[in-house]
Amino acid sequence: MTRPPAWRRYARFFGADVRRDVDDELRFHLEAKTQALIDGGLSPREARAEALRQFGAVSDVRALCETFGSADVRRSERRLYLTGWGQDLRYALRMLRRTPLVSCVAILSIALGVGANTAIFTLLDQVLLRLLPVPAPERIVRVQSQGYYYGSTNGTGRELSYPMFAALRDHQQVFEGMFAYFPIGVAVRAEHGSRSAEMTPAALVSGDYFSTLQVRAAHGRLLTRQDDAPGAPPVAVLSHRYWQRRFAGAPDVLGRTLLAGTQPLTIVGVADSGFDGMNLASATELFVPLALDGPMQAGASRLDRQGLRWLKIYARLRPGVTEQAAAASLAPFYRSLRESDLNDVRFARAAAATKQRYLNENRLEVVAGGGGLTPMRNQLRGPLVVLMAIVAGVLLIACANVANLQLARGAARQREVALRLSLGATRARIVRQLVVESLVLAGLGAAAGVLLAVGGVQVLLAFLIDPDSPSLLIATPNPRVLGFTALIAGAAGLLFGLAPALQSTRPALAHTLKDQSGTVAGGAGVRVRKALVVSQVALSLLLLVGAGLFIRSFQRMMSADLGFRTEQIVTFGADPTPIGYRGHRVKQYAMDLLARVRATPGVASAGVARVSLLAGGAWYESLAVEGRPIRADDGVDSRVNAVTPGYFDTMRVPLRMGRDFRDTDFRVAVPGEKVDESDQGYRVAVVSESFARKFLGPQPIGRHIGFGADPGTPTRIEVVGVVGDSVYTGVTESRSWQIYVPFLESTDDAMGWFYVRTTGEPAAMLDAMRAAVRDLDPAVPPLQLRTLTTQVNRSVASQRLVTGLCVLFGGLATALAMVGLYGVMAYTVTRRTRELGVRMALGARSPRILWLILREALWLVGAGVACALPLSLLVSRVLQSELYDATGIDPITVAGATLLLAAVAMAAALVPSWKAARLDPLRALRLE
Amino acid sequence: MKKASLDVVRGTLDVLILRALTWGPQHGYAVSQWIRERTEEELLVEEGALYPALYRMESKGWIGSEWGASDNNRRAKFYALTTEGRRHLKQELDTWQRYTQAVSRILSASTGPGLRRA
Repeated sequence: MTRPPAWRRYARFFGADVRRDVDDELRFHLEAKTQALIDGGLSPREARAEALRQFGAVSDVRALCETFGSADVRRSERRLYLTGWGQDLRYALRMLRRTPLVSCVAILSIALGVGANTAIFTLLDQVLLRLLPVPAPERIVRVQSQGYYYGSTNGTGRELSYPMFAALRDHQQVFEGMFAYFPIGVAVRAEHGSRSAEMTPAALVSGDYFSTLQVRAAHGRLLTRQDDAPGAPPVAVLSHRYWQRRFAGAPDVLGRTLLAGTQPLTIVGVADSGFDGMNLASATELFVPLALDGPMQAGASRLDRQGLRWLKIYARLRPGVTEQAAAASLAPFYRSLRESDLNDVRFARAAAATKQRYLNENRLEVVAGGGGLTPMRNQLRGPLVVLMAIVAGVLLIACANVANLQLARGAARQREVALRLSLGATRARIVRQLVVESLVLAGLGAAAGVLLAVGGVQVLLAFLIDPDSPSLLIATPNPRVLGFTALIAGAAGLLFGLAPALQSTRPALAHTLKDQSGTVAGGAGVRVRKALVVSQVALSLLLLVGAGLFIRSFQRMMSADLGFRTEQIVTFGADPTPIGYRGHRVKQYAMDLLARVRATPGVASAGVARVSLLAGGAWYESLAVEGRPIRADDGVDSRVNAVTPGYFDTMRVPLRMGRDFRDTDFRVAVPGEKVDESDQGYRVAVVSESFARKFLGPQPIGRHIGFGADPGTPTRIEVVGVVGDSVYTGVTESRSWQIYVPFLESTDDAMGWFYVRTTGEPAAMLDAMRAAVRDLDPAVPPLQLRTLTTQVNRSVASQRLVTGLCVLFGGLATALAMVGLYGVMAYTVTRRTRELGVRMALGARSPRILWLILREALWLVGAGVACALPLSLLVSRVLQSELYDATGIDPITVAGATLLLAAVAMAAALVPSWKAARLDPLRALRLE
Repeated sequence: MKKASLDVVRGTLDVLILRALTWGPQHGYAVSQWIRERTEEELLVEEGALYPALYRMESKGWIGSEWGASDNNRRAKFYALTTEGRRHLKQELDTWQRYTQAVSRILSASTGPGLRRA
């Protein structure tokens, strides 16, 4: 008569225990048999032995039974388990449907939070995380020069010259392939005589470009080393996208001729679809051999210029070779290249110290290059990271809201849960069901969020993309983004679901099953909800502070004095070289166009510059100043522009001293004439006033400067005027030293950028300008025709976007937090209804009751603000790199954000407080 | 005195168990004693062999099990026939009838093979 011991009963609580069951069964049999034998007359010991003998091998039987039993148990458990999840899902949907309003609010909150995160991550994924669509992109590296170089550059100074590239390519053993790359824009025409040219983004590539990247051809063949040899027939390869767009995918495109500028190119192939060049944000459509550099840019070839660093070099590492090993292996040869470089003519006047610096302070770096050459990446890296942090904050606030909602729902379902627990459901099971509810909410919210995100990204892209170039960025999420969305939705679901689920299944059964009307104060549940609201308020304050900082920074940026006036200016470029203008005719074209523009009604004045303002383009030179001794390559680094007379007046750049350029500052370049490096043919110059102040002393007019930074550089250019400082490449740049030379004295065929001051609205003059350009020569289209204000806005597009998004998300976060605050305050009033009724009965009047509730709200907001204030200092510091002209702590912004938050919070709390003050005391006291 | 016992073929044991359960749910001990008594201890000399058979048949779905209380209020596992089990039992009984009839026809034959007079 033995019952299984108590501990075994509890052990079974966790599920069927096959071994114990089999044990029990066999023991029952043996004991029954033994008893029967005892009844038949045997002694207990004999009976036991006989029973065992008649049974057979107990352990074998047991083993067999256990095997069968566990297989069975596993199968039924699995079935039960799966149906359990199905049950949970259906139940969750039913529960959500029962309180549609609350569910909708929750889903909307999650949709906003998840949607914002998905949108930003979509951008981040495409701009920052994407790699080239080639095999093994992680082995593609960029080979760049780091440190001091002597010479000029068409980039950032990290490029290499062609002779260096060729030598490295032929000598190296660590790469499977190596190529040089230079992006260009070409005016493509179908054939000679056709007047309409289309600006096409293209690239000059060396022969091993396609083979190193392991791109395949969709049609025809790709470029090889033979195509990149001097004297080879001029060919080109199209991108798949371009082939579809321009030639409708026609298979007979091979052998056709394109005109790039004035250079005919034979099409020999089409690259595989999906490959759009090295820029992952903007498509390259035409690939041309590097050997065609001269003809492609209607000037001298840059291939034999030893001192010009202009080529971006990429390579594919051999398997097993690391970037550091490759750099180390190339270092000795690179040094020997530099040593022989010292014999180049450009070092003729260089000091010995300069030569030493060049040898010792320059090295070759091999860095990861799988991300291609995407300028947008650097531009947007900082802002995108900031935005990710912001939308993470928004999501947290949304989660806190939903957690509050779940807690409130949990409190209302206390009875149901208690009943289920007392009927035998395990706590784990109920928690699981509640968590499934939360996950369903999160899932629905995430689905809605993805839809929101797609729309949002489309809007964002409209701001980010330069409409002139074919963008590769799309609004629809790719699998990686969707995976990210699923991840954060799941995490959010657990975050706001687990704690309330655990909270509401706490085994305080007896208490809950009884009537709850007697309770007054809240207990742990309310504390958690209040803590959530406090954290929401704190996060909102941080986001508002961030938004405020960005707004102020943007304001400062837009109101900064650029040095010239941007209102009422129309600007455009006109480049006649693609259709064959050369030499003297180029300048004549510019002058003719200028005259035509000036004669147009509505034009007050006009000027031409060689470098387009606020477009990122630049011309830097290192200058020698008369009377300032140079020891070793320490010339004055200045920005240079070539302008026509009337430019300063048009741009309202004030003339401080001396004179503007005159029409007589004009020079006709004789073909074949050797121009000295130190003045590049210029005879006069106008300098900016900070330059004059620093280097030319009190009498700058009549002093001389020269291009070059070596000892003994001749200074033959005469300074004839001084003008005010102005910005050059961008609005955020500090106004620095600038030199202006006469446009008309230039000795190369540079195009001109026109700046036209209009008497009326500049936007109205755009058509007139287009007509003026077309009338002069219909084959030359105006480039980037827009008002200067538009140009300014374009140049700050990403800052504007970030600021706008910060404001949007800051506002969103605050709105969500206020919803949370309102919810908790309403709950507080409900909970304290009896107490308030008692107070009113004891004589408290409406204003006192109002203040009572409002005070509680004030505490919550105050606590949130107090937590956030020290963190906001941290935020200011962290954001400093992204802000314009930011100086440490900005108390106005912090104060403003705090006041705004407090005001909105008070408004949110006012409604429940008002309702509390208007309570009917009798109804309040009667509430059961 | 020990009798020589017949070894029970597995399939036959299944049928015996199913037959034992036709009168209602029983626990394993009861089934084993019933079989031993009815066959006068010729079959199921090793009582333990019953249990793997029971578990196997439960997996197949011929019988179902449930824990219950025995006559003297002990905890025991009771087995009962399922519909599938009943069907299988009927099939086996039919087969057994035909088998035994065929065998007895041979065993009670009066003439042997190959003695046909032309």
